[in-house]
Amino acid sequence: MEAVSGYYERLVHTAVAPIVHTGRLYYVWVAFLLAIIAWGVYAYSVQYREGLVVTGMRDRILWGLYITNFVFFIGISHAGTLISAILRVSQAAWRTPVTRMAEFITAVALAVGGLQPIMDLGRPDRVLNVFIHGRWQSPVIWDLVSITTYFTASVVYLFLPMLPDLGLFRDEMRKRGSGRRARLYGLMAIGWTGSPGQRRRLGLAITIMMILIIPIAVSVHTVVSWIFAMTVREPWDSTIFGPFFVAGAIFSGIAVLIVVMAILRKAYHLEEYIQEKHFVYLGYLLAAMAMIMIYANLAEYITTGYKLNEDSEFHFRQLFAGRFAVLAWYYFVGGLLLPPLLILLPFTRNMKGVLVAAVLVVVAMWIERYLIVVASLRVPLMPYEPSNYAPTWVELSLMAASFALFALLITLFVKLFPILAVWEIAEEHEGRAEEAVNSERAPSGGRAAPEPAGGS
Amino acid sequence: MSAFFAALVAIVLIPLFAGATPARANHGGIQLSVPGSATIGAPLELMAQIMSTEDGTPIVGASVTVEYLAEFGGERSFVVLGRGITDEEGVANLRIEPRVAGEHELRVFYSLPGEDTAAVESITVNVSDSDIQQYRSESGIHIFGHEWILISVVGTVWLVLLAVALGIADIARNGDAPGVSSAS
Repeated sequence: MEAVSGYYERLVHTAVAPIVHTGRLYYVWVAFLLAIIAWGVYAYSVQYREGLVVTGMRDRILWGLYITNFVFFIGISHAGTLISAILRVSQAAWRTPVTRMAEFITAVALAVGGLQPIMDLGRPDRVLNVFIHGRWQSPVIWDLVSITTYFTASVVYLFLPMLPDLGLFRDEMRKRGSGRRARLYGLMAIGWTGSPGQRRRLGLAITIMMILIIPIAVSVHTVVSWIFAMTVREPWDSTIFGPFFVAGAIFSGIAVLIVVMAILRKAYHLEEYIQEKHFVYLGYLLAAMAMIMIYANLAEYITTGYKLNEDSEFHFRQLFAGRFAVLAWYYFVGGLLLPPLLILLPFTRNMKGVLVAAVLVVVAMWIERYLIVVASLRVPLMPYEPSNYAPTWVELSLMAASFALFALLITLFVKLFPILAVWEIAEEHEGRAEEAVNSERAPSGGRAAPEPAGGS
Repeated sequence: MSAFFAALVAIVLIPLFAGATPARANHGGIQLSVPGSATIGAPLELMAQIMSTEDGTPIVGASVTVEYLAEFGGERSFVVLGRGITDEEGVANLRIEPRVAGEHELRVFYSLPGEDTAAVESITVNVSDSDIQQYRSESGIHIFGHEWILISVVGTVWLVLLAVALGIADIARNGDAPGVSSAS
């Protein structure tokens, strides 16, 4: 049991370290991100003053980078809560170091994603029109309802498993004599003492949330896809857009989770807890989702390509051999074929291989969203010359600011909240230690089922 | 003097705003009338009456076509708004829904039964602006319960979230019992 106690002390030390120690590099990084965001705010002020005419969007291609980023960020929010919930429901024993990061990526991605349509509106006060003139029959309203529900549920789902760790941090800060921080964590821990009654209630609440969050998350990206699929436009006229978008969201979500995990592992020396096996397991999930994506793409392009009406032909030409060919072929080869190969081939089935695959997927999935939005809008609805879209410096600046905001919120989150699910990792470690003792005593004994999340 | 001026104004303007414009062609004269005011989205009745120029009797079976000078994509062209055939009283009523506010010239072509040539007459309509929703799609599926199904599903989800929030409050209330703050 001494080994278990030593492991726990190291774990607490590692989890608390980002909060009590702040290096110079941290401030430089935050200042760098703030500078990009400040430039984005300036770009937005120009757009606010001059109107959407300062963007590359016009009457024919009326959506550009903002809506691409909206779909992208809402997609990666699935990193998140959905993956964490699936891992909890399936009681995947290796999930514990992964879930916390996954959950906060969701909350941050939803917050950044929610800003994108407001940028796209030009005048932010027009958001009120959704409430004043909104109709239940409109996919925009479905989107608003499902995203706000998902955001609320994600924040609750992030908070619940963090509760024991907030209590732990409160106690740790008291021990270290940091009264201000102890009060802050005491406030957030809402009086957590770890009593049996509290643990029982917490376990129940987590179980309810992990079941509830899965259909909510699925509904979110289905509804996002319907913003396109409910519109009369040839490339969006697809019955599989809902499942296609959900699969794409999980695919990109896992990839972003891997990238964020790798960065935080390196920055905060989490090598003992986030091991190569965690990357490989997530890599397997990524490869499985790549297969589903390949299947979905084949189903989509073969059925429309076989019939090939006039609009489809135009779209296929611009996608495979025309204006968007480089992007499209990168998406197909670099984003769908190469990543599973990197993960499944034995000599690249390691942390670096999985990380490279994840980066390829993140880039490819952003491109996929760009193609869905911009290339589809380029297909003429009437016999006119197809127009083109090129993002202006304003859109590019706001895109850079959005990604910087995403990184900044994660950076600040790590600075304020427990980066690791300490109590869950400790429980998993204790379980493994007990299992090892039991197997020494009775080698022929069966393997005990893991405790449900939240534990009794 | 002022009475004379008023009479002159009445002679010039009343036919214009009341929409009564006599015309004569092809042995038939047409008289057009529209309401003095019209509103976007609200139906507007244009009445065309065709009478014989020889004996003043109504002409039955004459065809009437109404066109409107529209502008779309930088192109200006006449668009057919409606067609009708005169009845026993020589009257054809055409129902029009104006979509653009302002003063519009309607061009009415009419031809008598058995004649190939058409005469034309025009009338001006003043259409005032409104916030009436001009088009409601009838396509799509109608589900029993309509949006209430969606509202009840969303409501149920939020009720569960509320129950979880109450659970969190319960956790806060049960914090007095001794225990450990972590898993160890």
